[in-house]
Amino acid sequence: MRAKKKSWKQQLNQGKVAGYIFILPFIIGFVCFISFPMIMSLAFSFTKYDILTAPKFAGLDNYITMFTQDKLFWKTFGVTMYYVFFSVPLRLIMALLVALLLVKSSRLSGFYRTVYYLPSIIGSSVAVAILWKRMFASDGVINALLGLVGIDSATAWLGRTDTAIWTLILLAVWQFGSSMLIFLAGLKQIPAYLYEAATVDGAGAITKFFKVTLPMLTPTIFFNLINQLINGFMAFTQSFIITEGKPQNSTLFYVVYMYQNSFKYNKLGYGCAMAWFMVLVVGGLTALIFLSQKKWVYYESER
Amino acid sequence: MKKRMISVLLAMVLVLCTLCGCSSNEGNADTSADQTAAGTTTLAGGENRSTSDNAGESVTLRLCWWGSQTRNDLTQKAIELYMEKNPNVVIETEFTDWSGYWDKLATQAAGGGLPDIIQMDYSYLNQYASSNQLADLNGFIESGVIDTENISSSIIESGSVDGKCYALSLGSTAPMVLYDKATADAAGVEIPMQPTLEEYVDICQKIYEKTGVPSYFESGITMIQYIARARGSEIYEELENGVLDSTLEHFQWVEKLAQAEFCISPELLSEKNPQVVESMPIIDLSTWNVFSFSNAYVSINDACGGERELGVFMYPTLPDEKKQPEYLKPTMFFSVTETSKYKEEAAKFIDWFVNDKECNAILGGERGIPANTAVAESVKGQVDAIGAVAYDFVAEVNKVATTVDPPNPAGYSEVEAVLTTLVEDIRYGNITAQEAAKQFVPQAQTILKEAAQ
Repeated sequence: MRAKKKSWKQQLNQGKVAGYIFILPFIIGFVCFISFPMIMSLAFSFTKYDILTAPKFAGLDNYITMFTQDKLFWKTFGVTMYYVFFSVPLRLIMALLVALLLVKSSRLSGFYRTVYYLPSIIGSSVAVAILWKRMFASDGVINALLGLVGIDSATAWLGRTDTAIWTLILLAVWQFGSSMLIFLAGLKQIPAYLYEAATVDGAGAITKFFKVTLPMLTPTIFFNLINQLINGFMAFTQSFIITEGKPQNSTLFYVVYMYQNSFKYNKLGYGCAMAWFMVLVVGGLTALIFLSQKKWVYYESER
Repeated sequence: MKKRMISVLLAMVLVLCTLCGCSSNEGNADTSADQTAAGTTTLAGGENRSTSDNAGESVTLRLCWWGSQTRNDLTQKAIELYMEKNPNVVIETEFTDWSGYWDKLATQAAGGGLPDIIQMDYSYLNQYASSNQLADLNGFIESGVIDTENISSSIIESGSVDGKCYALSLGSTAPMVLYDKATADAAGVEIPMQPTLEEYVDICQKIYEKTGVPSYFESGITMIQYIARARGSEIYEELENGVLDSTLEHFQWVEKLAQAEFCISPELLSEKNPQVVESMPIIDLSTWNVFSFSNAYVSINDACGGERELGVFMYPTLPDEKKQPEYLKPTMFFSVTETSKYKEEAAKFIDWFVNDKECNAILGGERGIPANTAVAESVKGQVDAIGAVAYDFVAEVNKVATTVDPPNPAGYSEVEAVLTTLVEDIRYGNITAQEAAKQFVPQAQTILKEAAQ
């Protein structure tokens, strides 16, 4: 009895156990609110479930409909890919450019950093979505500004199939703040001696950027790329609030269509199947980028 | 290498976690809805909340609805009056806006936790009734718990599915076109109470020539239904049987008007979304008219600044109509849920809400013209000049209206989405009316068939 008690106490005092106890709140949350719903959604994806009545097993029906009959499914998938393909690289380039400007510390650099970071906090909010809608209206700020420089425009930017998606991409690019901060941290870690050596060798600013900064920054770019890629596929508010998928579904994002299926058309089973296809696609793309990192990501420690 | 493995693992966790963030949002909708529900739950009056089985003793009812802040305040006031008069009843209220309402209701239904009384919409009635979520009210109507003496049988019918009454209408509304009177006067056109589509096109043309203000033609589910009615048919019946006629007729009018220069461009229309009161094209005179329903008259008037005079007329009908397509439709209902423990108490409250003059004096016809004719008469004496326009219009409609179509079948919202896209395609000139009809009908048929299973 006594020995047992002692061992219990001893066990508790082991670093390992204490660690587990400390992460217990997270584990409980993870299991209850992430793993469990995920497994449930996988199960639902094989059923016909209208939320109001109990789910009925439907085998692979949802997946078959998705791939063979639902034209809108492929359309929204295409729209999302287009959005990700343009918004992610543009956002990263923007973030890197601003980070390069802000890396030199001056008295106001803290202020600028905050200002440029702000959009990524408020950018996905409903308020900004509505603001964006107004800005690109036919009688909005953008057309007024164009009028000032002599271009008389009454374009309804959000009403044309060729421009509507680009207003959403622009909104995404504008939210470059969090990537910018990570780039800033990455830039500061590049040792000064590399630049000194380059200067001695007679390299100019542009050569330094391409031969020193960029290679040294590849792990940061790698991290940002994956992060933003996942974020890009999850874009919801912009399409849901600003354009509602209009016009002609040219801005209907995959996730919005998934939401519509689940809660508007009460086809939750189908929505779950769509969600799982998305998991596979994003997982696959992430894996591809991981495989490619041998070719372009430079880790100092490996040499 | 070990470091690499760890980073791979971490990234995989990252992918899964963030993606879950996305999928768990759906789950969150439930919890956050519950939280807002808890936040807005009000417990006025009645300290004794014990829920004993005997009728007449303390009873707690949950009631939920969608609506604007005006509706929330008015309803809250009416409920407080009810609790004052019935000290044994405590009513807990939950309210949200329209868009969040059905998500919330669906998740609550899935968990078996629907409130006792829910506000119901005509388009969702079928779905909820056929999945056994709603209680049959016929018994209460027969026993007199719900007094229907001053309520017309067509209104009871409108809340019935297969002969069972599942919902009691809180008010009536009718399809209504609103227009800017100053513009029409400037163009010198006389608009009849119900123009034919040909007359309507003439009016639009004249107004555009004289004033340069374009017009809007509603092309969604309401109009296609209207045209089917004018043809003496019913749109969902046609779609279920794969019949093209009404759809084609409708699409041809859409096509004709889309290509006319006197109509608003599709680009601008997509921006000035006429489905949302606050962005309607009539507000800044992007168009001189807008298609809506009579119960929205006051709010559209407000959105236009409240100083312009807005005229009204019925939706245009076919030149060779077989039947008057104009109808009166319930704006919204109250239903008692099947899971409610106090169905009779809930029915009593609905009876009071629909039939009590004092209660409706507070509500002021905000949910449409009251179903009880005696109550409607007494409320009419209390509304202002703007509200009176809607009242007079409904009275006018009442003289000619024919019975409303049965509640929309399950799957209708998906059909509507397909229709919206195709109408957009026609407007942008990507597809002819003929092609659009050939695409729409079979697609709608499949959707309806699948949803009916």
